[in-house]
Amino acid sequence: MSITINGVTKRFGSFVALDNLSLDIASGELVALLGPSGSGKTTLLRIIAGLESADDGKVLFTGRDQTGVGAKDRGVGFVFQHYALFRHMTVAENVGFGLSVRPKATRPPPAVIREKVMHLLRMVQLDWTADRLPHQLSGGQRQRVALARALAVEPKVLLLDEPFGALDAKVRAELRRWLRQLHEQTGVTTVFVTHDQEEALEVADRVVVINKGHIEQAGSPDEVYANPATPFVHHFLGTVNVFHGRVHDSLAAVSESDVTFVRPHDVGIERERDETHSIAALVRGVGIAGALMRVELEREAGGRVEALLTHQRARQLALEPGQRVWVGFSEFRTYAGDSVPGGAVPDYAI
Amino acid sequence: MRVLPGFGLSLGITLLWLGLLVLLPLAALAAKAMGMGWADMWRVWTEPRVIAALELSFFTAAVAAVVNLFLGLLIAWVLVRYRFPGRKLADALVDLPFALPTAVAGIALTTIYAPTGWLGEPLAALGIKVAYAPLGIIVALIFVTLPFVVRTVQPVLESLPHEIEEASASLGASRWSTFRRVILPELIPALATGFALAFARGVGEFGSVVFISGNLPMKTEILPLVIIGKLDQYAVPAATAIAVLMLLFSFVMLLAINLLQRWAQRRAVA
Repeated sequence: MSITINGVTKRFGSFVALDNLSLDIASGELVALLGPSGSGKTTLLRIIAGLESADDGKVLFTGRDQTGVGAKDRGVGFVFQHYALFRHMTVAENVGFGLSVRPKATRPPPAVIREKVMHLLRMVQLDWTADRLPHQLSGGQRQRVALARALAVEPKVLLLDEPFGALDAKVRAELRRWLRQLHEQTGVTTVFVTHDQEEALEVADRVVVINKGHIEQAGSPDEVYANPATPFVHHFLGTVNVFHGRVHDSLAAVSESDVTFVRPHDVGIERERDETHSIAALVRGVGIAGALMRVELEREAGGRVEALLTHQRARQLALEPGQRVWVGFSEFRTYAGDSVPGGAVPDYAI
Repeated sequence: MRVLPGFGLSLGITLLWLGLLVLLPLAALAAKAMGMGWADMWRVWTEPRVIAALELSFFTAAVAAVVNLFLGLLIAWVLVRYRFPGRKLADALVDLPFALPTAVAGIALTTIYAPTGWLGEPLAALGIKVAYAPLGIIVALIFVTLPFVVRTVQPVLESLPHEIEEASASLGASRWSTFRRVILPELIPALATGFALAFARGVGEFGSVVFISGNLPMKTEILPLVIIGKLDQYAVPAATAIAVLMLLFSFVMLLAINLLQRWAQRRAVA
């Protein structure tokens, strides 16, 4: 089922959570709503679910206006950040809840419900927990139960609000892959909210970057990462080095107000100066950042630069704190200063 | 269950305290009653007047507790879920029956519900007798025990995450299904506690009831009053025998409610 969001506005008192926002989500798509906290992404998700009503604008499911249709009748599955399982019910009762509250005429017999519940629990690999209570499960297991519960009513849309936000890093990575896989199996239109850019880029078909109640950019993960439409998107999707000025062969300010963003992995380091590596810097520190090495540099002209190198390259360079090196940028982007929101310039800016 | 440091000391204090303040007087009571022998005790227990009073006391306390179970839940719900002018005031009013001397409550209720009173007169015209009838005792007990259910349910209702209701709604449950299947089970332990407290208080209540009941033997005489009556006649052993009977009944019923609550709670541990 496709979702159309048409000029939706939502205010909480004088705070504008969503500002005339429009978005089309195709049937079967897996979309991430990505943004910082307070950007309005959760509000948008809740309006799609019918848990919140828009002050202005409409939400349409396959062209049908959902204004005035409550959460109960929208046929959406909703997964909450903190699971929201019914703690007095067993796992099986939780998953079967949506089926067992149907009016008598459409309610499946208990045996059918049980069978369906067990099928879903097998799908989330938790069939062995059927008769346990939620508090006996780990966070990751609870969230999988919550997902099975949402899927039990065969929703036309699956909505997830920061589904992995309360879980530790390892479980989160596992569940991300698993959500992706589940989406491929079921093909149900899925929208999830996250503030984690990595999660959005890794899981979604399309990433919608939201800031201050409007969409900054919507596109495939590749698109938004490689071609950020605004400084906000550039900055929000991963770490950037921020320079006040324009980059020529060396870093020179043409206009004081312009701002240049360089991703740490686009920072190159050489021991000798050449035409592309012409900025003198001192190595301040070298450390492991997972698959890559993080190098902290300080420009001789002043200001810090962060670089990410492969372990191999770092070994080749044999960098040591205090050493003098030459730095260049393989990719960078310059924005007119007035297009950069104040909040986008972080503390580690140079 | 995790045992915190200082367990021995705190358990010791708990047991000493309970022993001195609760068990010792009760044991003395039992010992005093035992002094009269089983046969005499049985004779006191089976006096028609005692049996009638016992029935009345437990019946009225149970009815009042049941009424307050619903009324208390409703009041707690309104106080927690709705925002209206005067909510804080209404919240404070709930505790008033605790603060008021029960005799004052009894006199006030009698004035209102007596056949010549503000409410008593129109009700009498309809053929409903409140004061000087078992109904009056129930009214007095409802008044006195009102805060128990409200105050036990209110905090539980407040701490209930709103998300579980939203989850229920998104799964297609109606408001009523959500209340019955999601919210109510969470409240049952608190409701049971409130009910038990209200019931126990109702059984032992004296001050407010003596004024409104009229104290007709066999009709509107409650058990505590029978005890006082015995004491007035210097029949101390008989009085203690009745007290022991009351204690036994109360203990059994509270124990049953507690077990019920334990069972409900085991299903709702967080």
